[in-house]
Amino acid sequence: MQISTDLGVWIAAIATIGILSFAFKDNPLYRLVENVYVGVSAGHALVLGWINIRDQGIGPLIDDGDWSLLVPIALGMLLYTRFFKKISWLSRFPLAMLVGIGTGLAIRGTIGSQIVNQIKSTILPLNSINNAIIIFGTLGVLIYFFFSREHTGPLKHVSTFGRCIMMVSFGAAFGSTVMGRMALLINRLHFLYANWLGIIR
Amino acid sequence: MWEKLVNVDRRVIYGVVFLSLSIPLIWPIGFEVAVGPETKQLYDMVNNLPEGSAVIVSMDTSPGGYGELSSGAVALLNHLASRNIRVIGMGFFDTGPSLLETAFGASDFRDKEYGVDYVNLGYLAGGETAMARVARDIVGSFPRDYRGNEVSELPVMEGITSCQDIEMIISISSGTPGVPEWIRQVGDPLGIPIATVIVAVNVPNMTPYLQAGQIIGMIPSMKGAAGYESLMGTAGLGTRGMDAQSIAHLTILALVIIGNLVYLGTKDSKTSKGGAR
Repeated sequence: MQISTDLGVWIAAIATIGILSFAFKDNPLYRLVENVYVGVSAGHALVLGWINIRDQGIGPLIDDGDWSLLVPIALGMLLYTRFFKKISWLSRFPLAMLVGIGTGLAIRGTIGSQIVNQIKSTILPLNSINNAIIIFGTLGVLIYFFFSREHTGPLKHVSTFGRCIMMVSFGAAFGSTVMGRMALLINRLHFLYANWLGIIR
Repeated sequence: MWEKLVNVDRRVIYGVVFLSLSIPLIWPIGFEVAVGPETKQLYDMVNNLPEGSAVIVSMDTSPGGYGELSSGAVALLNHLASRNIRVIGMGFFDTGPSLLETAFGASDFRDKEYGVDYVNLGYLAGGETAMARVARDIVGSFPRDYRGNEVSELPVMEGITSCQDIEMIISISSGTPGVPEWIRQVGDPLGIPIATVIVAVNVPNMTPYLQAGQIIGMIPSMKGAAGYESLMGTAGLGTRGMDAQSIAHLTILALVIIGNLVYLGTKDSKTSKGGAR
Protein backbone atom coordinates (compact mmCIF):
# COMPACT_ATOMS: atom_id res chain seq x y z
CA MET A 1 0.00 0.00 0.00
CA GLN A 2 1.44 3.32 -1.09
CA ILE A 3 -0.73 6.39 -0.71
CA SER A 4 -0.32 8.98 -3.48
CA THR A 5 1.64 12.14 -2.75
CA ASP A 6 0.24 13.90 -5.84
CA LEU A 7 -1.89 16.92 -4.87
CA GLY A 8 -4.05 16.52 -7.98
CA VAL A 9 -4.86 12.91 -7.07
CA TRP A 10 -5.79 13.99 -3.53
CA ILE A 11 -8.12 16.72 -4.84
CA ALA A 12 -9.76 14.24 -7.26
CA ALA A 13 -10.08 11.63 -4.48
CA ILE A 14 -11.69 14.07 -2.03
CA ALA A 15 -14.03 15.29 -4.80
CA THR A 16 -14.98 11.68 -5.63
CA ILE A 17 -15.69 10.86 -1.98
CA GLY A 18 -17.60 14.13 -1.65
CA ILE A 19 -19.91 13.27 -4.56
CA LEU A 20 -20.36 9.63 -3.45
CA SER A 21 -21.16 10.78 0.11
CA PHE A 22 -24.52 12.06 -1.17
CA ALA A 23 -25.68 8.42 -1.27
CA PHE A 24 -25.37 8.45 2.52
CA LYS A 25 -26.73 11.90 3.23
CA ASP A 26 -26.70 15.44 1.83
CA ASN A 27 -23.71 17.22 3.37
CA PRO A 28 -21.55 20.37 3.01
CA LEU A 29 -18.68 18.52 1.27
CA TYR A 30 -21.07 17.22 -1.41
CA ARG A 31 -22.50 20.71 -1.99
CA LEU A 32 -19.02 22.23 -2.15
CA VAL A 33 -17.81 19.69 -4.72
CA GLU A 34 -21.02 20.03 -6.74
CA ASN A 35 -20.67 23.83 -6.87
CA VAL A 36 -17.00 23.62 -7.78
CA TYR A 37 -17.86 21.20 -10.61
CA VAL A 38 -20.53 23.51 -12.00
CA GLY A 39 -18.19 26.50 -11.76
CA VAL A 40 -15.25 24.73 -13.37
CA SER A 41 -17.46 23.39 -16.18
CA ALA A 42 -18.88 26.85 -16.90
CA GLY A 43 -15.40 28.43 -16.84
CA HIS A 44 -13.99 25.72 -19.09
CA ALA A 45 -16.83 26.12 -21.61
CA LEU A 46 -16.33 29.91 -21.62
CA VAL A 47 -12.59 29.64 -22.33
CA LEU A 48 -13.10 27.02 -25.06
CA GLY A 49 -15.83 29.19 -26.61
CA TRP A 50 -13.49 32.19 -26.64
CA ILE A 51 -10.68 30.12 -28.23
CA ASN A 52 -13.13 29.11 -30.98
CA ILE A 53 -14.09 32.73 -31.66
CA ARG A 54 -10.42 33.76 -31.61
CA ASP A 55 -9.19 30.98 -33.94
CA GLN A 56 -12.15 30.90 -36.31
CA GLY A 57 -13.17 34.56 -36.38
CA ILE A 58 -11.10 37.36 -34.89
CA GLY A 59 -7.70 35.79 -35.65
CA PRO A 60 -8.19 35.27 -39.41
CA LEU A 61 -10.01 38.62 -39.65
CA ILE A 62 -7.10 40.63 -38.20
CA ASP A 63 -4.10 38.49 -39.22
CA ASP A 64 -5.21 37.45 -42.72
CA GLY A 65 -7.57 40.35 -43.48
CA ASP A 66 -10.44 37.99 -44.23
CA TRP A 67 -13.21 40.63 -44.11
CA SER A 68 -15.93 38.13 -45.02
CA LEU A 69 -15.74 36.95 -41.42
CA LEU A 70 -17.33 40.23 -40.32
CA VAL A 71 -20.70 38.77 -41.39
CA PRO A 72 -20.73 35.76 -38.98
CA ILE A 73 -19.13 37.87 -36.22
CA ALA A 74 -21.82 40.53 -36.61
CA LEU A 75 -24.54 37.86 -36.64
CA GLY A 76 -23.03 36.31 -33.50
CA MET A 77 -23.01 39.66 -31.74
CA LEU A 78 -26.66 40.21 -32.68
CA LEU A 79 -27.51 37.21 -30.47
CA TYR A 80 -26.66 39.37 -27.45
CA THR A 81 -29.24 42.00 -28.35
CA ARG A 82 -31.78 39.82 -26.56
CA PHE A 83 -30.48 41.36 -23.32
CA PHE A 84 -31.74 44.79 -24.46
CA LYS A 85 -35.51 44.90 -24.61
CA LYS A 86 -35.84 47.58 -27.34
CA ILE A 87 -33.62 45.83 -29.88
CA SER A 88 -34.08 42.24 -28.74
CA TRP A 89 -35.93 41.45 -32.00
CA LEU A 90 -32.58 41.63 -33.82
CA SER A 91 -31.47 38.38 -32.13
CA ARG A 92 -34.11 36.53 -34.17
CA PHE A 93 -32.09 36.85 -37.41
CA PRO A 94 -28.99 34.87 -36.30
CA LEU A 95 -31.21 32.47 -34.39
CA ALA A 96 -33.29 31.85 -37.52
CA MET A 97 -30.10 31.16 -39.47
CA LEU A 98 -28.84 28.73 -36.81
CA VAL A 99 -32.14 26.86 -36.72
CA GLY A 100 -32.50 26.86 -40.51
CA ILE A 101 -28.99 25.62 -41.29
CA GLY A 102 -29.04 23.07 -38.45
CA THR A 103 -32.43 21.70 -39.46
CA GLY A 104 -31.52 21.58 -43.15
CA LEU A 105 -28.33 19.64 -42.49
CA ALA A 106 -30.04 17.25 -40.08
CA ILE A 107 -33.01 16.55 -42.40
CA ARG A 108 -30.73 15.94 -45.39
CA GLY A 109 -28.86 13.30 -43.40
CA THR A 110 -31.85 11.90 -41.55
CA ILE A 111 -33.80 10.92 -44.66
CA GLY A 112 -30.92 8.89 -46.08
CA SER A 113 -29.32 7.50 -42.93
CA GLN A 114 -32.18 7.04 -40.54
CA ILE A 115 -35.14 6.35 -42.81
CA VAL A 116 -34.03 4.89 -46.16
CA ASN A 117 -31.01 2.92 -44.94
CA GLN A 118 -32.84 1.67 -41.85
CA ILE A 119 -35.79 0.46 -43.94
CA LYS A 120 -33.37 -1.20 -46.38
CA SER A 121 -31.72 -3.05 -43.50
CA THR A 122 -35.05 -4.63 -42.51
CA ILE A 123 -35.57 -6.13 -45.99
CA LEU A 124 -34.02 -9.49 -45.22
CA PRO A 125 -34.46 -13.13 -46.30
CA LEU A 126 -36.50 -15.17 -43.85
CA ASN A 127 -33.75 -17.73 -43.36
CA SER A 128 -32.87 -17.26 -39.70
CA ILE A 129 -34.57 -16.57 -36.38
CA ASN A 130 -32.71 -13.26 -36.06
CA ASN A 131 -34.02 -12.05 -39.42
CA ALA A 132 -37.54 -13.17 -38.55
CA ILE A 133 -37.42 -11.24 -35.26
CA ILE A 134 -36.15 -8.11 -37.06
CA ILE A 135 -38.85 -8.28 -39.79
CA PHE A 136 -41.84 -9.21 -37.64
CA GLY A 137 -40.65 -7.12 -34.70
CA THR A 138 -40.41 -4.00 -36.89
CA LEU A 139 -43.84 -4.66 -38.39
CA GLY A 140 -45.37 -5.35 -34.97
CA VAL A 141 -44.02 -2.13 -33.45
CA LEU A 142 -45.16 -0.09 -36.46
CA ILE A 143 -48.65 -1.61 -36.17
CA TYR A 144 -48.67 -0.79 -32.42
CA PHE A 145 -48.29 2.89 -33.35
CA PHE A 146 -50.91 2.68 -36.12
CA PHE A 147 -53.86 4.55 -34.60
CA SER A 148 -56.10 5.04 -37.67
CA ARG A 149 -57.97 1.83 -36.97
CA GLU A 150 -59.12 0.18 -33.74
CA HIS A 151 -56.81 -2.64 -32.63
CA THR A 152 -59.26 -5.55 -32.81
CA GLY A 153 -59.06 -9.00 -34.41
CA PRO A 154 -55.71 -9.89 -36.06
CA LEU A 155 -54.49 -6.30 -35.64
CA LYS A 156 -54.75 -6.72 -31.86
CA HIS A 157 -52.46 -9.76 -31.86
CA VAL A 158 -49.87 -8.07 -34.09
CA SER A 159 -50.00 -4.95 -31.93
CA THR A 160 -49.57 -7.05 -28.75
CA PHE A 161 -46.56 -8.74 -30.34
CA GLY A 162 -45.15 -5.27 -31.13
CA ARG A 163 -45.66 -4.24 -27.50
CA CYS A 164 -43.80 -7.36 -26.31
CA ILE A 165 -40.89 -6.54 -28.63
CA MET A 166 -40.75 -3.00 -27.19
CA MET A 167 -40.78 -4.38 -23.64
CA VAL A 168 -37.79 -6.57 -24.48
CA SER A 169 -36.09 -3.47 -25.86
CA PHE A 170 -36.87 -1.46 -22.68
CA GLY A 171 -35.52 -4.34 -20.58
CA ALA A 172 -32.31 -4.37 -22.61
CA ALA A 173 -32.03 -0.59 -22.21
CA PHE A 174 -32.55 -0.85 -18.43
CA GLY A 175 -30.01 -3.67 -18.13
CA SER A 176 -27.52 -1.65 -20.17
CA THR A 177 -28.11 1.38 -17.98
CA VAL A 178 -27.35 -0.64 -14.83
CA MET A 179 -24.21 -1.99 -16.51
CA GLY A 180 -23.13 1.54 -17.45
CA ARG A 181 -23.69 2.96 -13.97
CA MET A 182 -21.73 0.09 -12.41
CA ALA A 183 -18.88 0.69 -14.88
CA LEU A 184 -18.79 4.35 -13.83
CA LEU A 185 -18.61 3.41 -10.16
CA ILE A 186 -15.95 0.77 -10.85
CA ASN A 187 -13.86 3.42 -12.61
CA ARG A 188 -14.03 5.75 -9.61
CA LEU A 189 -13.41 2.96 -7.08
CA HIS A 190 -10.44 1.80 -9.14
CA PHE A 191 -9.11 5.36 -9.05
CA LEU A 192 -9.48 5.49 -5.26
CA TYR A 193 -7.92 2.08 -4.63
CA ALA A 194 -5.17 2.24 -7.27
CA ASN A 195 -4.21 5.88 -7.85
CA TRP A 196 -4.97 7.29 -4.41
CA LEU A 197 -4.59 4.57 -1.79
CA GLY A 198 -2.30 2.33 -3.82
CA ILE A 199 -3.82 -0.88 -2.49
CA ILE A 200 -4.22 -2.36 -5.99
CA ARG A 201 -2.07 -2.04 -9.09
CA MET B 1 -39.74 -10.43 8.86
CA TRP B 2 -41.38 -9.02 5.70
CA GLU B 3 -42.06 -5.71 7.45
CA LYS B 4 -38.39 -5.41 8.44
CA LEU B 5 -37.31 -6.05 4.88
CA VAL B 6 -39.82 -3.54 3.49
CA ASN B 7 -38.43 -0.84 5.77
CA VAL B 8 -34.76 -1.62 5.19
CA ASP B 9 -32.67 1.54 4.91
CA ARG B 10 -31.67 2.28 1.28
CA ARG B 11 -28.12 2.85 2.55
CA VAL B 12 -27.89 -0.84 3.43
CA ILE B 13 -28.49 -1.63 -0.27
CA TYR B 14 -25.88 0.96 -1.29
CA GLY B 15 -23.45 -0.68 1.14
CA VAL B 16 -24.09 -4.16 -0.29
CA VAL B 17 -23.54 -2.91 -3.87
CA PHE B 18 -20.41 -1.02 -2.76
CA LEU B 19 -18.96 -4.19 -1.22
CA SER B 20 -19.93 -6.29 -4.23
CA LEU B 21 -17.87 -3.91 -6.39
CA SER B 22 -14.95 -3.32 -4.01
CA ILE B 23 -14.12 -6.90 -2.99
CA PRO B 24 -13.61 -8.28 -6.54
CA LEU B 25 -11.64 -5.13 -7.46
CA ILE B 26 -9.20 -5.71 -4.59
CA TRP B 27 -9.20 -9.51 -4.82
CA PRO B 28 -9.89 -10.37 -8.50
CA ILE B 29 -11.65 -13.64 -9.30
CA GLY B 30 -10.62 -13.96 -12.96
CA PHE B 31 -13.94 -14.63 -14.71
CA GLU B 32 -13.62 -15.46 -18.37
CA VAL B 33 -14.26 -12.52 -20.71
CA ALA B 34 -16.66 -13.08 -23.63
CA VAL B 35 -15.92 -11.07 -26.79
CA GLY B 36 -18.94 -9.67 -28.62
CA PRO B 37 -19.07 -9.90 -32.45
CA GLU B 38 -19.28 -6.09 -32.73
CA THR B 39 -16.03 -5.74 -30.77
CA LYS B 40 -14.30 -8.43 -32.83
CA GLN B 41 -15.40 -6.65 -36.03
CA LEU B 42 -13.74 -3.41 -34.89
CA TYR B 43 -10.60 -5.26 -33.82
CA ASP B 44 -10.34 -6.91 -37.25
CA MET B 45 -10.99 -3.61 -39.01
CA VAL B 46 -8.12 -1.90 -37.12
CA ASN B 47 -5.89 -4.90 -37.82
CA ASN B 48 -6.56 -4.52 -41.54
CA LEU B 49 -5.77 -0.79 -41.69
CA PRO B 50 -2.62 -0.05 -43.70
CA GLU B 51 0.33 1.05 -41.57
CA GLY B 52 0.69 4.84 -41.57
CA SER B 53 -2.95 5.45 -42.52
CA ALA B 54 -4.99 7.97 -40.55
CA VAL B 55 -8.11 7.67 -38.43
CA ILE B 56 -10.16 10.33 -36.67
CA VAL B 57 -10.78 9.79 -32.96
CA SER B 58 -13.56 12.11 -31.89
CA MET B 59 -13.99 12.49 -28.13
CA ASP B 60 -17.72 13.18 -28.05
CA THR B 61 -18.22 12.91 -24.33
CA SER B 62 -18.11 14.79 -21.04
CA PRO B 63 -16.27 13.76 -17.86
CA GLY B 64 -19.47 12.01 -16.69
CA GLY B 65 -19.36 9.65 -19.66
CA TYR B 66 -15.60 9.34 -19.86
CA GLY B 67 -15.48 7.37 -16.61
CA GLU B 68 -17.32 4.59 -18.40
CA LEU B 69 -15.53 4.95 -21.73
CA SER B 70 -11.92 5.39 -20.64
CA SER B 71 -11.07 1.68 -20.54
CA GLY B 72 -12.38 1.11 -24.09
CA ALA B 73 -10.78 4.30 -25.42
CA VAL B 74 -7.37 3.40 -23.99
CA ALA B 75 -7.56 -0.20 -25.28
CA LEU B 76 -8.42 1.05 -28.79
CA LEU B 77 -5.70 3.74 -28.74
CA ASN B 78 -3.17 1.11 -27.65
CA HIS B 79 -4.15 -1.03 -30.62
CA LEU B 80 -3.87 1.93 -33.02
CA ALA B 81 -0.45 2.80 -31.56
CA SER B 82 0.78 -0.78 -31.98
CA ARG B 83 -0.31 -0.74 -35.63
CA ASN B 84 1.41 2.65 -36.27
CA ILE B 85 -1.84 4.28 -37.33
CA ARG B 86 -1.90 8.08 -37.29
CA VAL B 87 -4.58 9.44 -34.96
CA ILE B 88 -6.29 12.76 -35.69
CA GLY B 89 -8.06 13.65 -32.44
CA MET B 90 -10.85 16.20 -32.04
CA GLY B 91 -13.93 16.89 -29.96
CA PHE B 92 -17.40 18.31 -30.44
CA PHE B 93 -18.05 18.50 -26.69
CA ASP B 94 -16.13 21.37 -25.10
CA THR B 95 -14.61 18.93 -22.60
CA GLY B 96 -13.69 16.42 -25.32
CA PRO B 97 -10.15 17.61 -26.18
CA SER B 98 -8.97 17.71 -22.55
CA LEU B 99 -10.32 14.18 -22.05
CA LEU B 100 -8.56 13.16 -25.25
CA GLU B 101 -5.29 14.44 -23.78
CA THR B 102 -5.98 12.24 -20.73
CA ALA B 103 -6.65 9.23 -22.98
CA PHE B 104 -3.47 9.82 -25.03
CA GLY B 105 -1.49 10.10 -21.77
CA ALA B 106 -2.93 6.84 -20.44
CA SER B 107 -2.31 4.93 -23.70
CA ASP B 108 0.82 3.88 -25.59
CA PHE B 109 0.64 7.15 -27.54
CA ARG B 110 2.47 8.77 -24.61
CA ASP B 111 5.62 7.15 -26.05
CA LYS B 112 4.86 8.36 -29.59
CA GLU B 113 5.73 11.75 -31.03
CA TYR B 114 3.06 14.45 -30.87
CA GLY B 115 2.44 16.08 -34.23
CA VAL B 116 4.00 13.15 -36.08
CA ASP B 117 2.06 10.11 -34.87
CA TYR B 118 -0.94 11.82 -33.32
CA VAL B 119 -2.53 15.20 -32.85
CA ASN B 120 -5.29 16.72 -30.76
CA LEU B 121 -7.00 19.30 -32.98
CA GLY B 122 -9.18 20.60 -30.15
CA TYR B 123 -12.80 21.62 -29.90
CA LEU B 124 -15.03 22.93 -32.66
CA ALA B 125 -18.33 24.53 -31.69
CA GLY B 126 -21.47 23.86 -33.71
CA GLY B 127 -22.24 20.18 -33.18
CA GLU B 128 -23.58 18.51 -36.31
CA THR B 129 -22.98 21.60 -38.46
CA ALA B 130 -19.33 21.58 -37.39
CA MET B 131 -19.05 17.89 -38.32
CA ALA B 132 -20.37 18.70 -41.80
CA ARG B 133 -17.60 21.30 -42.13
CA VAL B 134 -14.92 18.88 -40.92
CA ALA B 135 -16.09 16.41 -43.56
CA ARG B 136 -15.09 18.92 -46.26
CA ASP B 137 -12.07 20.63 -44.72
CA ILE B 138 -10.20 19.42 -41.64
CA VAL B 139 -7.30 21.91 -41.62
CA GLY B 140 -9.59 24.86 -42.35
CA SER B 141 -11.86 23.81 -39.48
CA PHE B 142 -8.96 23.59 -37.04
CA PRO B 143 -6.30 26.20 -37.99
CA ARG B 144 -4.53 25.60 -34.65
CA ASP B 145 -4.46 22.44 -32.55
CA TYR B 146 -5.25 22.06 -28.84
CA ARG B 147 -1.63 22.86 -27.96
CA GLY B 148 -1.52 25.98 -30.13
CA ASN B 149 0.47 24.62 -33.11
CA GLU B 150 -0.33 25.53 -36.72
CA VAL B 151 -2.16 22.40 -37.92
CA SER B 152 -1.08 22.79 -41.58
CA GLU B 153 2.58 22.53 -40.50
CA LEU B 154 2.22 19.26 -38.55
CA PRO B 155 3.70 16.16 -40.27
CA VAL B 156 0.80 14.03 -39.00
CA MET B 157 -1.55 15.98 -41.30
CA GLU B 158 0.46 15.22 -44.44
CA GLY B 159 -1.90 14.21 -47.25
CA ILE B 160 -5.00 14.93 -45.18
CA THR B 161 -7.38 17.67 -46.23
CA SER B 162 -10.87 16.25 -45.78
CA CYS B 163 -12.54 13.16 -44.33
CA GLN B 164 -12.07 11.48 -47.74
CA ASP B 165 -8.41 11.00 -46.73
CA ILE B 166 -9.37 9.22 -43.52
CA GLU B 167 -9.66 5.43 -43.23
CA MET B 168 -12.09 5.36 -40.32
CA ILE B 169 -13.85 7.59 -37.80
CA ILE B 170 -14.07 6.46 -34.19
CA SER B 171 -16.50 8.35 -32.00
CA ILE B 172 -15.94 7.91 -28.25
CA SER B 173 -19.48 8.83 -27.53
CA SER B 174 -21.91 9.39 -24.71
CA GLY B 175 -24.42 11.80 -26.21
CA THR B 176 -25.23 14.38 -28.87
CA PRO B 177 -23.43 15.21 -31.11
CA GLY B 178 -22.13 11.68 -31.48
CA VAL B 179 -22.53 8.61 -33.63
CA PRO B 180 -25.83 9.40 -35.47
CA GLU B 181 -24.45 12.83 -36.44
CA TRP B 182 -21.21 11.30 -37.75
CA ILE B 183 -23.26 8.78 -39.75
CA ARG B 184 -25.53 11.49 -41.18
CA GLN B 185 -22.78 13.94 -42.14
CA VAL B 186 -19.79 11.73 -42.96
CA GLY B 187 -20.42 7.99 -42.76
CA ASP B 188 -23.30 7.61 -45.21
CA PRO B 189 -22.65 10.54 -47.59
CA LEU B 190 -18.90 9.87 -48.01
CA GLY B 191 -18.82 6.12 -47.30
CA ILE B 192 -16.29 6.46 -44.46
CA PRO B 193 -16.49 3.58 -41.94
CA ILE B 194 -17.72 4.66 -38.51
CA ALA B 195 -16.92 2.84 -35.27
CA THR B 196 -17.70 3.76 -31.70
CA VAL B 197 -16.71 3.30 -28.10
CA ILE B 198 -20.06 3.86 -26.46
CA VAL B 199 -21.75 4.10 -23.07
CA ALA B 200 -23.91 1.10 -22.20
CA VAL B 201 -27.14 3.10 -22.02
CA ASN B 202 -26.80 3.96 -25.74
CA VAL B 203 -26.02 0.43 -26.93
CA PRO B 204 -29.66 -0.50 -27.75
CA ASN B 205 -29.96 2.74 -29.78
CA MET B 206 -26.81 1.96 -31.76
CA THR B 207 -27.64 -1.67 -32.53
CA PRO B 208 -29.88 -0.84 -35.56
CA TYR B 209 -26.98 1.12 -37.12
CA LEU B 210 -24.67 -1.83 -36.51
CA GLN B 211 -27.15 -4.24 -38.05
CA ALA B 212 -27.56 -1.92 -41.07
CA GLY B 213 -23.78 -1.72 -41.53
CA GLN B 214 -23.72 2.03 -40.82
CA ILE B 215 -21.39 1.28 -37.90
CA ILE B 216 -18.65 -1.23 -38.60
CA GLY B 217 -17.79 -2.03 -34.99
CA MET B 218 -18.44 -1.06 -31.42
CA ILE B 219 -16.85 -1.25 -27.97
CA PRO B 220 -19.82 -1.16 -25.61
CA SER B 221 -18.83 0.21 -22.20
CA MET B 222 -16.47 -1.70 -19.88
CA LYS B 223 -17.68 -5.08 -21.15
CA GLY B 224 -16.53 -4.22 -24.68
CA ALA B 225 -13.24 -2.87 -23.32
CA ALA B 226 -12.59 -6.18 -21.54
CA GLY B 227 -13.33 -8.04 -24.79
CA TYR B 228 -11.01 -5.78 -26.77
CA GLU B 229 -8.23 -6.21 -24.19
CA SER B 230 -8.70 -9.96 -24.36
CA LEU B 231 -8.34 -9.87 -28.18
CA MET B 232 -5.12 -7.90 -27.76
CA GLY B 233 -3.87 -10.28 -25.07
CA THR B 234 -3.57 -7.54 -22.45
CA ALA B 235 -5.36 -6.92 -19.15
CA GLY B 236 -6.32 -3.30 -18.49
CA LEU B 237 -9.05 -1.67 -16.46
CA GLY B 238 -11.74 -3.35 -18.58
CA THR B 239 -10.58 -6.85 -17.67
CA ARG B 240 -10.00 -5.96 -14.00
CA GLY B 241 -13.40 -4.26 -13.79
CA MET B 242 -15.37 -7.16 -15.25
CA ASP B 243 -15.09 -9.29 -12.10
CA ALA B 244 -16.58 -6.44 -10.10
CA GLN B 245 -19.21 -5.83 -12.77
CA SER B 246 -20.30 -9.49 -12.85
CA ILE B 247 -20.56 -9.73 -9.05
CA ALA B 248 -22.45 -6.42 -8.90
CA HIS B 249 -24.90 -7.66 -11.54
CA LEU B 250 -25.50 -10.87 -9.57
CA THR B 251 -26.03 -8.78 -6.43
CA ILE B 252 -28.54 -6.52 -8.19
CA LEU B 253 -30.31 -9.57 -9.61
CA ALA B 254 -30.55 -11.03 -6.08
CA LEU B 255 -31.84 -7.70 -4.75
CA VAL B 256 -34.52 -7.56 -7.51
CA ILE B 257 -35.64 -11.12 -6.63
CA ILE B 258 -35.66 -10.36 -2.87
CA GLY B 259 -37.58 -7.13 -3.55
CA ASN B 260 -40.25 -9.02 -5.49
CA LEU B 261 -40.51 -11.76 -2.86
CA VAL B 262 -40.91 -9.09 -0.16
CA TYR B 263 -43.59 -7.40 -2.23
CA LEU B 264 -45.47 -10.68 -2.69
CA GLY B 265 -45.00 -11.57 1.01
CA THR B 266 -46.37 -8.26 2.27
CA LYS B 267 -49.20 -8.37 -0.28
CA ASP B 268 -50.29 -11.83 1.01
CA SER B 269 -50.09 -10.80 4.68
CA LYS B 270 -52.13 -7.63 4.04
CA THR B 271 -54.72 -9.58 2.03
CA SER B 272 -55.05 -12.18 4.81
CA LYS B 273 -55.70 -9.34 7.29
CA GLY B 274 -58.51 -8.18 5.05
CA GLY B 275 -56.83 -5.14 3.63
CA ALA B 276 -56.06 -5.71 0.00
CA ARG B 277 -53.82 -3.00 -1.47
